[in-house]
Amino acid sequence: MQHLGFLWAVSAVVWGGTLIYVFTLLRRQNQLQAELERLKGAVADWEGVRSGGDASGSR
Amino acid sequence: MTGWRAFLHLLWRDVRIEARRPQFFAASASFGVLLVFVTGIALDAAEHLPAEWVSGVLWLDIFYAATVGVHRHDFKDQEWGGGEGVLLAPVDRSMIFYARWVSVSLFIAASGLVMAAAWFLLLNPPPPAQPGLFAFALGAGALGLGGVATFVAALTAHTRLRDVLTPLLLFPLAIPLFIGVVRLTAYALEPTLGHPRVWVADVLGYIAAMLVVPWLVYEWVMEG
Amino acid sequence: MNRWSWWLAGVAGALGFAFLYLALIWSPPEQQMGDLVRIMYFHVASAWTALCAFFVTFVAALGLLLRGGERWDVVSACSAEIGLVYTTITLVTGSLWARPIWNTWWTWDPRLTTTLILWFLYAGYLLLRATLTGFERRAKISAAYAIIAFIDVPIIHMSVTWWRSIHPSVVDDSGFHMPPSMAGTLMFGFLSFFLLYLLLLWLRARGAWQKLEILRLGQAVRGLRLREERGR
Repeated sequence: MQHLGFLWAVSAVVWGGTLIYVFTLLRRQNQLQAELERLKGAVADWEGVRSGGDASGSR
Repeated sequence: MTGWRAFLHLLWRDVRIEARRPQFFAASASFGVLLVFVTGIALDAAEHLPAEWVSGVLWLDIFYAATVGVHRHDFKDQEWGGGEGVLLAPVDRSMIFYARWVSVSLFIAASGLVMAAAWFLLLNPPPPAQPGLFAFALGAGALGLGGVATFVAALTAHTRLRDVLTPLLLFPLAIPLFIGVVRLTAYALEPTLGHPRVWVADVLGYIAAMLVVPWLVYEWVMEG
Repeated sequence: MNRWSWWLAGVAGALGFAFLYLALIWSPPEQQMGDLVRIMYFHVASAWTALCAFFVTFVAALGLLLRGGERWDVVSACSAEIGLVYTTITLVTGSLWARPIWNTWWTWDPRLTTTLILWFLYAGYLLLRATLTGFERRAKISAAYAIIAFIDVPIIHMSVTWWRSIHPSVVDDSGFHMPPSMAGTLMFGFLSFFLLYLLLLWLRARGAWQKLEILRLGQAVRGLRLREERGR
């Protein structure tokens, strides 16, 4: 029953490390998703503007 | 043009260009000698290093000097406008790889010889008890290092961090070769250390792997 | 995340907790190492998972070169990244294990040395990818490197083993024979880590795919703008 601190450290590294990695992945993906929505919206707007015959191109 | 003739042609072209402008060789060899000298200072001018250490020092310096110099072979192609022409030549791409490999290896062997001379003078290792094995280690080391360096230089040709990435990719890939030649050199200096055969097999195996695998993927690398 | 990935995440989480219970409480302590042997489960399971991840990278790289297609490239890169995370975990837990058992953070044991070289190999792979310009080029060149690196791993391991076994070795790690309860815990741990790996691979590949999508959309927007300007 010696050096049990090392055992706790290992458990913390394994699960902490995995959790941190998962959270960074999720956060990055949420950002990407937002960016994706924005771009899709932009494309849709654009096409809507063009088909509406408005040639001012305000965007 | 058959593969063999293309190989000789490309090799001869590389060697000729190198011989016509020896400044690069002079610079590389001087840098190599400087590395040996600085290592001597770092080791506090030690008089008698153990054979294992002193051979490790020699190869560390040779590997480092080689990675610093390996890009130069591409610049030379660009300067002479020959690089693109080689890609257009109707030969198997792997011939380009092998020709470049041999010319880079010759270059590394030549500067390695100069560095080994400086190493004998400055670091004072024992004279090799087995000169043949010592020569084999130098030759095989240059050949293997030339192969992996040529391949890695082709990989990093289009990266933004080329100067740093080449050694970063090269050293881990070359570890089996590095260990092998260091051990062989140590045994050549002091045969009591034993077991040279394992390391001859290791070095030759590494060179054989370098012969086959890049041949399989080099075409994709050149297309990329 | 869709329904499937939530299910997978739930199962991976449950298995993870079960693994914690098996490793920390259920499995017996070892004679010499005592409770510290429990580190082994996490350490070895992550090492195996890392190897599996690099094998997937290798296979995907082969797939890219033989078949072509972005999907292979995405899988190859994502698997390498996760493999690197697991290799890091392996190295850190190995170090934390070596300190109390062998009284040192690092030894030149063949497996340790190979693992560290593995780490450098794949860190180099990710850096190579990050700095290569051009999609097609990046895919092909990094695939070529991934193949060479993976083939090099057994050669590295062999040479390092020869190197250390010919030398006098301070640490004897001939290993110990495991009773079934320990081997079972280890296999369970490996399975739960592997499931986690699959989940992470899915997550990570989805992100990479989103990124590709964004790039394509960005190009489309630029194209539309160009057309608009020309039309004027």
